[in-house]
Amino acid sequence: MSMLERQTVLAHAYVALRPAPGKARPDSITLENIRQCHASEDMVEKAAQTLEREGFKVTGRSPLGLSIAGPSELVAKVFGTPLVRTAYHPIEGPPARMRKLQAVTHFEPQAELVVPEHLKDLVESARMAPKIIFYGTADAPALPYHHLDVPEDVARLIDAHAAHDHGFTGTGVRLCVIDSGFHPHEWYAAHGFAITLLGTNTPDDDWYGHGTGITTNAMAVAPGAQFFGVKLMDISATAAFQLAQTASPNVITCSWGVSPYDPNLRAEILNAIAGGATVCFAVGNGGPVGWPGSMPEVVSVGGVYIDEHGTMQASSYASSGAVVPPGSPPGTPAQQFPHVSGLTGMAPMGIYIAIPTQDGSSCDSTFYAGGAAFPNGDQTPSGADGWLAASGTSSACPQVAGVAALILQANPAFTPAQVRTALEQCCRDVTAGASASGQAAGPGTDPATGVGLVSGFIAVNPVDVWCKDSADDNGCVPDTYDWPWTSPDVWVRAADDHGPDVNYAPEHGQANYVTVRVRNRGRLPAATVNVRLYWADPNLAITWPAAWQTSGLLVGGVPGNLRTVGPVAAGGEIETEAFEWWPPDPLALSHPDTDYGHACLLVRLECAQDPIVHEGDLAGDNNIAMRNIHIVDVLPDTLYTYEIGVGAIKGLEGKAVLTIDRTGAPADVTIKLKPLTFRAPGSTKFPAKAVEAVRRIDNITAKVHTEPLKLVRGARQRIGVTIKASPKACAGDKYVVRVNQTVGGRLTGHVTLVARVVDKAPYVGDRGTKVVHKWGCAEIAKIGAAKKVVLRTMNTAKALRYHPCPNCKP
Amino acid sequence: METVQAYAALRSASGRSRFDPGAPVTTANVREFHADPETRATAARILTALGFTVTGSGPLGVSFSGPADLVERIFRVTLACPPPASLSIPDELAPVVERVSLSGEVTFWDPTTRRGSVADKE
Repeated sequence: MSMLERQTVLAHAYVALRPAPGKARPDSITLENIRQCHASEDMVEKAAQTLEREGFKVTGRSPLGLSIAGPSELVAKVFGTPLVRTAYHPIEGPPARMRKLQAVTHFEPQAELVVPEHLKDLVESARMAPKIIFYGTADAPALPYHHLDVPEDVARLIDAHAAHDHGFTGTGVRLCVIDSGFHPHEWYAAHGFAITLLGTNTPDDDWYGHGTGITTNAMAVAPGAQFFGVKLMDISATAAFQLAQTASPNVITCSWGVSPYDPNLRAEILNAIAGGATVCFAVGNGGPVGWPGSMPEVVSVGGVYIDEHGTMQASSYASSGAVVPPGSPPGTPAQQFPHVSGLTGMAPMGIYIAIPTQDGSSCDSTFYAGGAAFPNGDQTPSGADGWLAASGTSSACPQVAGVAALILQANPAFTPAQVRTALEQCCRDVTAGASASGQAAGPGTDPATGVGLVSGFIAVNPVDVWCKDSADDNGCVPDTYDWPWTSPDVWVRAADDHGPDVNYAPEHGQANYVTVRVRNRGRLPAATVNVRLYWADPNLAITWPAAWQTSGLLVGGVPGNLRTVGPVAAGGEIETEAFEWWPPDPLALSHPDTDYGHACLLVRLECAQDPIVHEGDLAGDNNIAMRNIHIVDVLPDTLYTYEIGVGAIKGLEGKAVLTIDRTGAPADVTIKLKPLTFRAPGSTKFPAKAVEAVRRIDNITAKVHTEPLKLVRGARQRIGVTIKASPKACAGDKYVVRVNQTVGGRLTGHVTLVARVVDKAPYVGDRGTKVVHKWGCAEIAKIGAAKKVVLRTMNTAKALRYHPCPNCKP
Repeated sequence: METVQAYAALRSASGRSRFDPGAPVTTANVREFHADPETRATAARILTALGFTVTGSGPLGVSFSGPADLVERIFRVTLACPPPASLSIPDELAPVVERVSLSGEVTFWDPTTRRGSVADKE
């Protein structure tokens, strides 16, 4: 192929041939009549020769037509239509994923192609070839067990998303992967990644199937790095290291070991490190620590598992152990490996991260395991589908290498020793679980995980102030755990007494006291943190900043919403002095009848060392947290019904699903879900049906999901969740019921209902007659269980439009 | 025919041997064991002339591969398990190569823990 041909992008077209004499093209082509369209062999050949004489390449032929390619100018000249050159991405995906994907040239005709006179006896019509879009296999298959996807989940749990948000993606860093090969899987293009392959040993053939997948871990963590690949097949490990050196890498990652110990490889590794490369080696899986993963000079990488609740523990699949490093001088004591850890699944196979591989590779079939169920097989569609769910320290190592790349972007002059120190300093402590070797994790540096699980964000930003979004939240962003609006770090009390969180309901008409707990995941103290408190009407969108209110908030007796704390120690936490809060009149809220006692408290942590980058985004920025509160008092053997509004949200289409979790309430407490009437937007009436019929669910016994509810644009429906207190309930009992609403899979609403049992109440209202009674009034006994409402003050009763009982005159 | 991977450690420009047990290689001193570029080129040229494929080279050594019978003939060794720590060096290589040894077996860290080589594939 000449240089000119290589550089010329050809335009592709198709010419439909006329049917052979005696045949006529049917109006509609079917399998049965398609032969009626066939041209004769002579016609096909004559047309091909004619077009080749014109200067076209015939790239395909059949009795129906010819595929041809030629310079766009030639197409324009022969078919009488100028072409417009465009570029597009051949694999579908969201724009963010397309940023590095190489575009494909496409030629659009400005008008229909015209068949020239000298071809009309052979050619019926001509058209430019359409764009080609690849589908499907760029996305991991759905798997029915807890697992991670690349790049999103790995980037989140390695804390790399936050680093990316602050501009650290590994830009300017050369990262080399030495592994089994690098199949050009669709995943790479779909996510905008490219890898420069070194060597002549067919590095794009990954028949073994290991390298194609594990490389995606490094890409997830350091997407801005420049990636190189060396195939460690048909060449030795020393050769692979020498080949890697030709790319002058800053980071080299190796998810393999060598046996027996090879002094030459050790020397080559040391030479690479002396040349400025940070070399990461996986410590191994299951058995004794591997070598070179037990070289003191490399970054030795072990494994940590994070479950679906965000809890970390040492991986039972990753190796660890103390050995005298081979090649050490006599008398060298045993050293403990690994140094640090990345994400790794659990025994028996480490099935954890869905990664691409070469179709039908050895790993593809090994992890498919004949269709065995998790955890003995990965349950991907087949052993030849180009996907596997795997991990091991093989995945952990490139993740750590990715963090090394983030460190080097932030500190380009760092030596490998400094990078190693930074990796150790950024780790999150892992205190639970044991490695495959049986060594236990524990506070501080431990034998199972080393210093702990690396954090991409702490590696480049030594301070990370945050509040938990939920009990499960571990600070990684975006937060994906359930109940993200239940921050345990924001709580209300009746008195300014620094007491604990007791699910106190803020009371209108009096001072309430809000405390905020500020945490620091960083490795350095946060000097000063400005804590700003807000509240929002829960029935309105809580869009920053319009919906975030400060009225009724006082600090030191004067209006204000700012408390300053600091320093917050590395790994420490500190509580603010209380904010004084006078909640709004329930009547001022959008739905006072149903949302009395309901409030949204919002917190922003402002810290110069860790600025907010996603304003108003609870999940996307851990400097922001919210506590959604709805607490009602109930008497034993009475009902309380909370009404939930279900509705379409602008810009978010799909079906709504409600999830009701009553696991926080005792078994003898009855929980039901039932449809209520319909309310049109902006109306006090309920004529519009907003969603499909809601199926009543009686006796909810655990966590249940409703059938998907088709939404009507702009309308809402009220759905009731009824809690019936047990007759045996005692004062002080609390029933916690949580409700999530998702639309199209995205969380759009959430409330934690806390029904607090009281054995007496200052006032009791009749929801039906709207009459309020003093405690002890004989009329209370006549109120039905479903209509008996506890009212704490007459102010509340009046606000909710109750009338005083004429007998007890409250 | 099985292909064998091997490594030729070059003689250093300083004259120091990295196989001296009293002077272990470290990241601080590894450059003292670098060979001259001419030494590296000469070794690669001789290995190629002997029929081997040079798969990689650096200032410390030359990685190469070749058929097992060629390795046995040139380095006067019978390949067995476990392989010898070092091989006899032919006269033409001796001025530039200090030691020749077979490369270790590579294990990718996955449940199969099998050696990654084309020989295994076949």
